[in-house]
Amino acid sequence: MIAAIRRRAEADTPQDDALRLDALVRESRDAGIARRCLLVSLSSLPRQVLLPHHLRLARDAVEPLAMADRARVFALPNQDLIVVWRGEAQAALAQSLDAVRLLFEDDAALLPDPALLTRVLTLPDDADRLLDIIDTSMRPDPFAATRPAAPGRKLDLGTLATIESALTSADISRMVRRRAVCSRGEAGALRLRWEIRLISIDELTDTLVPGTDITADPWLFRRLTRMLDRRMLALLAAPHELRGAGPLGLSLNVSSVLSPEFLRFDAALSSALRGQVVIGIAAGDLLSDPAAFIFARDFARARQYRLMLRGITAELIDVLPLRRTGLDLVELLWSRELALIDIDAMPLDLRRTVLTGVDTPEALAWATQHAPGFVAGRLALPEDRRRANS
Amino acid sequence: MAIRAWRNSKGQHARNASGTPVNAVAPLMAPARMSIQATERLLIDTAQRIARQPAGWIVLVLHLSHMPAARPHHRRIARAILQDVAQRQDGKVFSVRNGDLVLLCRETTGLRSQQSGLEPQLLPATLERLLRIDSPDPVRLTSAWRADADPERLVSYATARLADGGAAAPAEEDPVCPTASIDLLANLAADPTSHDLMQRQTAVLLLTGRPRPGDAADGGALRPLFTELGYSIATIEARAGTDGLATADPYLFRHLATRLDQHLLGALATALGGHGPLDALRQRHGVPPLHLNLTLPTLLSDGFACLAAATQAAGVGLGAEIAYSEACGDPGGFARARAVLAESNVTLTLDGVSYLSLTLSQPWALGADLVKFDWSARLQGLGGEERLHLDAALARIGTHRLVLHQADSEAALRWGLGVGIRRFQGRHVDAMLAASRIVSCPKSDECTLRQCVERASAVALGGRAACRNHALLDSAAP
Repeated sequence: MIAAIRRRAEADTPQDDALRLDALVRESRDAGIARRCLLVSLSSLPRQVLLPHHLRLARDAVEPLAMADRARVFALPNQDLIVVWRGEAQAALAQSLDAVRLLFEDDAALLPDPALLTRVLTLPDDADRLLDIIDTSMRPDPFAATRPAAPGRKLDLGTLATIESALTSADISRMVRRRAVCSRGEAGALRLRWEIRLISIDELTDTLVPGTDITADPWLFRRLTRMLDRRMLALLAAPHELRGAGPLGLSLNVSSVLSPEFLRFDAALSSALRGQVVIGIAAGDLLSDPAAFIFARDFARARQYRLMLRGITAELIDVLPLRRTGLDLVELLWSRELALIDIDAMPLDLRRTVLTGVDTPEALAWATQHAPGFVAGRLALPEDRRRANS
Repeated sequence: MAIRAWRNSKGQHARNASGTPVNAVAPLMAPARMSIQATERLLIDTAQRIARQPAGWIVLVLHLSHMPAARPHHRRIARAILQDVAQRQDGKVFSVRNGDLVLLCRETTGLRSQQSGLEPQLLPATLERLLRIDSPDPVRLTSAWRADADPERLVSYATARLADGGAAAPAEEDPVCPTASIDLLANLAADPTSHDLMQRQTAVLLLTGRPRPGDAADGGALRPLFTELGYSIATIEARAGTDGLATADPYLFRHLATRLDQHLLGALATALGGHGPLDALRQRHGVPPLHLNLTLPTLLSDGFACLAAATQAAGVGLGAEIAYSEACGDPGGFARARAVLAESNVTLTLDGVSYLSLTLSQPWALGADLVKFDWSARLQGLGGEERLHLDAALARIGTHRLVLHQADSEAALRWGLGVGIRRFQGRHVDAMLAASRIVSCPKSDECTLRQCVERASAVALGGRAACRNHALLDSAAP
């Protein structure tokens, strides 16, 4: 059985598992089918405990329950395990709970709340709770530049200086990630429109200052992003770096658009790519120096870049309408608050909107209902990649 | 001569079989490391050579020296644009020491024009458009002419630049702020006896249409609205000897602000406890509310919650100011802070709303109690559509919520009154309040207006010691 779980885990992505579980829970809720669930909340474990062999052992620990009648095991994107079964399996449940408890017995002092490591839920009564757990598990974005803040040393001025110094010679090419932005074609299939290039903050941290939470101070982190912008621009300006590249997106600080590195990148941009680059500028950056922003916007536009306002939430839609900023596109961050507002009454041109964070069925449903011009996220991959993944 | 003169003669000069103009002057050589004023000398030489064979040459001067607020990026980007044209049009860019940029290049032919997409004759309009925000008169920033229309004009210009002398050329690099400097500045404020690094300023409600010298601050034309208290960055920098470094990097500055917040909360907690120079905060009736400009992490901290409770217990009104850019940079944090403030009955003021930010955004949607709108001389020159848009935006905020900030001159007050604003904060208001105090103070015989302004802004006892009427000095301040 465990071998079967492993084989399936290797073939399927955790997103697939989450979507299957989501469908199963909704089915139980809607049809009133009784099921029970064991949640092993591995995501609540500290990083030093959450090692690959712990994950393997945790899967082994739920083996007795996984062998029960009509049992299914789901591995969620945040590492949590959920076993769902129907009928009587009390002995198997007790055996699995004991096995999980024993597994982390030596690390009990490290567990934030051992009681929360395992929970037993009942369907359909706990359906909404379980749907919340599934939704939460899908929130961390594997394409994103950062993971949830880990406990560790906070970034201070001294560490910032160390990182900046190290970055001048570090090879950042292996830290670069790509994130697809798609639009829906005539046949309804998602097709790739451009790829955002960004530096993985996790990898940067692990390489240069392991154990440091470099996003803890938002302003020092912003200062760091400015240097990362320039390293990325320098990388892309290198000979052959963009040979054969398709349309791409960059998230830049306003000051980076006005930097010597940007001018070199601009000079290196091929005629085929000119007009195919989307530059994202954060809302806060736009207003911290409006004169510099307007200058950068007009300069970038003269050089045929498309410009996107980044980081717009439900709260900010009314504060920063696209027509006032003079930009081409707006990045709308998915959140549940979006579902609570009348989006059609807001000053938002959905055709020029890039909905990001389409990682959950809820976000996907919102995107399907409102049809923004562009989408990005785990559940909004181009058709060919989605097929390859499945 | 205007740019139109050479637009009309595009492509008229003769070319040889290879396409090179027959009257070509020797290629313009790029100067390497040059001695003082070598650029100006080279420009004169080049101008003289072009003057001898001017046909087909175009001259464009970007007078960045006429732009008082020119920043390094203006120069850098403008230079890149001119270099781009120079490269395509067999030309050269000269950076002269007064800050101007001079482009000498060949006239556009039809073929080149199609290939480049950035023709020299379009440059003045492009540059004007780019620089219009930071230049009071962008049309006068560029001069462009055909060399054959006025062969000696460039020579005269270059000779004048040589005569300017050898002052250092403006920087193209942004100022750099070493991270260690920020530590130094933050640590200065950590000293518990550092109240002399703080200052305060009172905002007022103007009750009559025209302020008059001597208007009383209590019950007369000026009614104190609140007193803002915080660290003076200029004073901290003067103490540390790091002139301009604190604000050189906006991100490090915000980091510094967060650290200063902690020290400010600490100082206020001590004051409210009854020890220190902020005694006036305690149990005084009729003092205007205290306003603190704080970062979002500070507002969401336990320290602020304690302060809010302590001020309430002490009967002191409290207001919090949040930078507009920070509110938009962290909308989730802002929403939480707004809820916390509402729950604690603390007034929320949005700080740092400028004319430009009003052209880009709609701050009224954030639901603040007050909005500080920064005065700038640019506001006086707005006309037509720009003025209509501004008036509409101010109306949406509501004049009863607007505080004209940085009202440092009478012109600012007049402008504000003209658009219906009645709430003001700035140096001119400080002077009006000081004038009121001097008129009514029996002990002001030896006081000057400036002394009274400075003593009122001081928080530490040392800065106020020379005043012989502290009760009146504090009447519009905590």
